[in-house]
Amino acid sequence: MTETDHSEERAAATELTRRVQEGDPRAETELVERYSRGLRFLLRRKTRDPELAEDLLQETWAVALERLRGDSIDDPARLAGFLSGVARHLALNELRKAGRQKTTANSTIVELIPDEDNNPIRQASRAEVCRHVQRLIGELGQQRDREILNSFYVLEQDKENICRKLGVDGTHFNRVLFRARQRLRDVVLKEGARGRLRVVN
Amino acid sequence: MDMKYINDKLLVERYLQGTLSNEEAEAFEEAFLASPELLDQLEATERLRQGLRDLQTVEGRAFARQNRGFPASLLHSPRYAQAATIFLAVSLLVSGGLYMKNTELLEQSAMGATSGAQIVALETVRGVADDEPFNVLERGDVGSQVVLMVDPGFEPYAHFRATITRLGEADTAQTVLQVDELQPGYEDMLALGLPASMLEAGDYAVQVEGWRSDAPADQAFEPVNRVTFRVR
Repeated sequence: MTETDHSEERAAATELTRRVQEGDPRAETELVERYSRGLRFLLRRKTRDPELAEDLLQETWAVALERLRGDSIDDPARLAGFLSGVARHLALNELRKAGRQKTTANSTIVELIPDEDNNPIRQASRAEVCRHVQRLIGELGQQRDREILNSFYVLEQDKENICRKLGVDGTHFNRVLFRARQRLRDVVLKEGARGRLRVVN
Repeated sequence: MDMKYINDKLLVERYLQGTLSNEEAEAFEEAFLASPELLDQLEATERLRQGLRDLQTVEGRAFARQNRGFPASLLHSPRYAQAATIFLAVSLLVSGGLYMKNTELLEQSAMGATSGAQIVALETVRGVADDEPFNVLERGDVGSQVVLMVDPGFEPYAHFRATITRLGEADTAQTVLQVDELQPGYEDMLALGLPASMLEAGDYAVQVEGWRSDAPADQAFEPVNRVTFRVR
């Protein structure tokens, strides 16, 4: 994400907010398509419950669209900040509740929210990803790089300790993580494009 | 928040680990909502993390399976066959050597038996006069051994002393052997071993005494048993 990307995002967000406020229905669709994936990820992280996350995603859009239509957003350029704030607030409220009360589905919003079928990374099954990771690990040139990944992602040791233990510098450490992540992403996207991915977990 | 900053600070990983502060996490959430590229990185990292954990579990199970199947897989290994063949050959050589040695020892033992090692349990018979002993031994060959087994009674003495005396005319008894510090052994009997050559034809008595640790030194030995035997 570069400075140009930032500027483009801010301009697009301002424009979308303006169009929603003017009552453009296509703007609402674009808005929901643009931000639903990120909001879903955020809500899944917060709730650790995919079903609850879907309910809260609908609720987020219901609240957000109502606010946007009513012209009550301080900084339209920071639309992403506004949306993530709404989602976070709803998730926290939900988690504070002792019992879970299912939100009544708003059929209009449900139709707007894109499903996961277009997202190959999330679509890849755990078994599929595990196979990719196994291949990726096999392709790593050095055993030390595998240890870096295991120590960091599986054992959750901190970077400084791992670097000291394995005698690597921070740059190499970051590079190993970055390359592994990129490689997995590329493989998953490539296979997704070939239609080889199967089950959603 | 550009990608270099995100990568340098490991924000993706720290967000997934939940180690960002609230402010950092909120800023990061805003950033990935606004950037499909960052969201790709985030999802790929989440999958990588999960994949590594799953892989470790899978490999752990595979390792356990391998270990469980260890003996069976070993039996099918050519190296095992080679090792087993060598081991078998060495075992045959060693057991052959041991067999030869054993045969030799058996022959020696048989020779010893013919030279006449006697083990004789001396029966204590009350009311029998010394001039007519109940126990009779055949005199052994020169070089053979005699083991006399004597009953020490039931009193718990610290140890026993046995004296073998050759009986003769009155006041001419001759001590043949005295053994101290004896302890009951096989079948709670005292065993007295001596060369057969020490026992010429004649009548003998074995006097057994028990030692009391709580008695004065000159009264420490108490008579326990007396048994006579004749050597012909």
